[in-house]
Amino acid sequence: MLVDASGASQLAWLGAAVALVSLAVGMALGSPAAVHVAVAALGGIFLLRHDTRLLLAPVYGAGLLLMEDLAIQTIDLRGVGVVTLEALGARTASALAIAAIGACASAAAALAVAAAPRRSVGVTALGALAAVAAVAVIAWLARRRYGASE
Amino acid sequence: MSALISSRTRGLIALAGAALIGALASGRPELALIAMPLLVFAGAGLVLAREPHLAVEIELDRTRLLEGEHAVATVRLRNDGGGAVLVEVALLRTRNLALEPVGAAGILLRAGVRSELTFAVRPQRWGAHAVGPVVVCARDLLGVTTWEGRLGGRVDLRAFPREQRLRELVAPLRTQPFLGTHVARVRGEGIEFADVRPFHAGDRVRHINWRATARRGVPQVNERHPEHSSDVVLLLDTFEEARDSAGGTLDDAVRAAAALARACLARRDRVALVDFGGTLHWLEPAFGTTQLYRIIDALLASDIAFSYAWRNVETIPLRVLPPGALVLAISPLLDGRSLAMVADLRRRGFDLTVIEVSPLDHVSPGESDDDAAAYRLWRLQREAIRARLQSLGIGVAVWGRDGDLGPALEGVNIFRRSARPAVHA
Amino acid sequence: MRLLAEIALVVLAAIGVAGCASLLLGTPPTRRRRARAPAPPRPDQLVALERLTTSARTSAVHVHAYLRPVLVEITSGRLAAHGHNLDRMPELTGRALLGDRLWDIVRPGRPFPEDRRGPGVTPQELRAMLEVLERL
Repeated sequence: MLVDASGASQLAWLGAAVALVSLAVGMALGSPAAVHVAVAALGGIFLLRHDTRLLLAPVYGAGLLLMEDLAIQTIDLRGVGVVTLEALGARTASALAIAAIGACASAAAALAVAAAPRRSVGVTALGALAAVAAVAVIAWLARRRYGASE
Repeated sequence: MSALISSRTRGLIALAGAALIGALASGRPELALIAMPLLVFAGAGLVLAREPHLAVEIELDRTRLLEGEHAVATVRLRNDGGGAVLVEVALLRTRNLALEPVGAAGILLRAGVRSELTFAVRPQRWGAHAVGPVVVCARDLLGVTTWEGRLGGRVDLRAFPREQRLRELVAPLRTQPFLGTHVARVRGEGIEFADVRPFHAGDRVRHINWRATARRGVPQVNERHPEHSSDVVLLLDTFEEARDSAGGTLDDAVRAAAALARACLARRDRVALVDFGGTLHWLEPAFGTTQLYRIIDALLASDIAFSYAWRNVETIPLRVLPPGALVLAISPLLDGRSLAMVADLRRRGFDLTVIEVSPLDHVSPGESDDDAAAYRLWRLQREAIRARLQSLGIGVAVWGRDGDLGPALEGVNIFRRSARPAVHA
Repeated sequence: MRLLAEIALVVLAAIGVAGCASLLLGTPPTRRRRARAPAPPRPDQLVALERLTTSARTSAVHVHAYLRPVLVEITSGRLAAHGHNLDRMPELTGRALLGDRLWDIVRPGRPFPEDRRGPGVTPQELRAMLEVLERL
């Protein structure tokens, strides 16, 4: 989708406004769905960039994850009168560590994408397989976790 | 405890899935690269999370206290599971029990570690209360998996009505032939001087009034009033109450009943209790501290029970309403059945006083002009009801939420002294 | 052809992803909802009077059947405290003490209104009557 510079700027401001409102609503009402709408809007803004997208995408993704996690922590702590600093610190440190690992994995994938041949049916098929496999692994892990817990 | 995948995690996975499909459809691999940290996060959370095995104990430092005092509840947690979890603990409790800190408490509980949380528990009202169990929500460190459940047992707490010292009580018209603190009208052995009369055979020499004898020339003896006890029946109206966020007329009525029971039993009266409302409970008259504890326990169980059933004096066993008893009816005078009951007791010749627990302190006028007029009409109607009871010779002490009961009872005693001829009629 | 193949692959991938995501177990986590304490009920005595003051505006029948007994009870009690008997009070005394409107409603032997749909009591009239009673 080709958008000229001024149009892209306006869309970016619009996306940022949608994200801000959605985030505020999500934290006020305790709705993770609204927070995810904000993440989607901010992800959409990234696509308006014309340069260094592959380079910045892993960092941008990790940043979105951290923003989402902080918003969700705020929602989780509604109704909690007292919380120890140790608990808050442990959660935030864990999220930072996993975000860093995720960014590294994403960076490795970016290198692979940069080296990949141009788009073809075969490349698309490979991508489709990878997408389904990634979500399938998560679903299998979840089934194993919650099936064992019953 | 049941394990749940958090709605946040499902949202993350859906977002990542949509980004992957979007990347495929648009040919923009950046979407997939942005989605990767989200998928890694979800996967890591599912792999690393270990189910906690939590054990909880709840303890109170005291199980009996007065209204307004506080107890300390200690919640001890132990994590026997494999991994550290973030635990939110909310202590369940019965109504009218305030907790500090308000809301749940959040802590980090590592595997094999114990932790303690303390809450200050303050009953806002007398009664039988309980704390526990605790609602626990445990999350892994990434917040991907949640375990929820109720753990621990229930610990009972009894709050007794606030003590109100009464200097003055309603003086009974009749006494019983048991030793007590009321000056009886009859004559006999006692301290209070009654009269002087001529000496009869059998009178004790030490009772001779020498001065009167010298004046009259014939032996005269002193007569005295003995000190007797009386029977007191506390009639608690539980048909209906007026209530606001700070409390209700039943709370005030129970406090009044407890104070009256304590004071009457302390002056060696026999006290009975009748809980007269949707349900009917009674305690037969008895003396002493044991009766006080029985009455307080019965009062703690008082509650408003809605019922259309008509009740009158005949539903109360005769042994609970001894003849000559002073009946103290503690009532907000909201239900026609309690008014009818009071009038019926008076017609049967009982010595009756009404302690009106004013509902006006608990109800504010409505917002519209009509409702404000209705409120004024209500106040006037209540004054008319009071006047009607007084015309029957029933003293009415009006007691407001923040007032002392003593001055209200003093007013009743003044009324009873002036209304005495009507009582005997 | 290539485009169709790619579209088909994307659609299949979307179905696959959606299918795997739907395998995610678990009921929605319980949300901590702060239960709002219900407003305490108002006493029936007061609720009845609130209905009465609203209905008394509507017609003379409501005034006679519902408002009058309450006003008679209140007025009798307040007059009795001053040694007056409402049932035997002469009209002149009644009008002087209670005012025309209140006397007209509470006077002994007041007949049932002939015009059932006649006017009720306006809020201003009711307030004036209440002021008279409160002053007694």
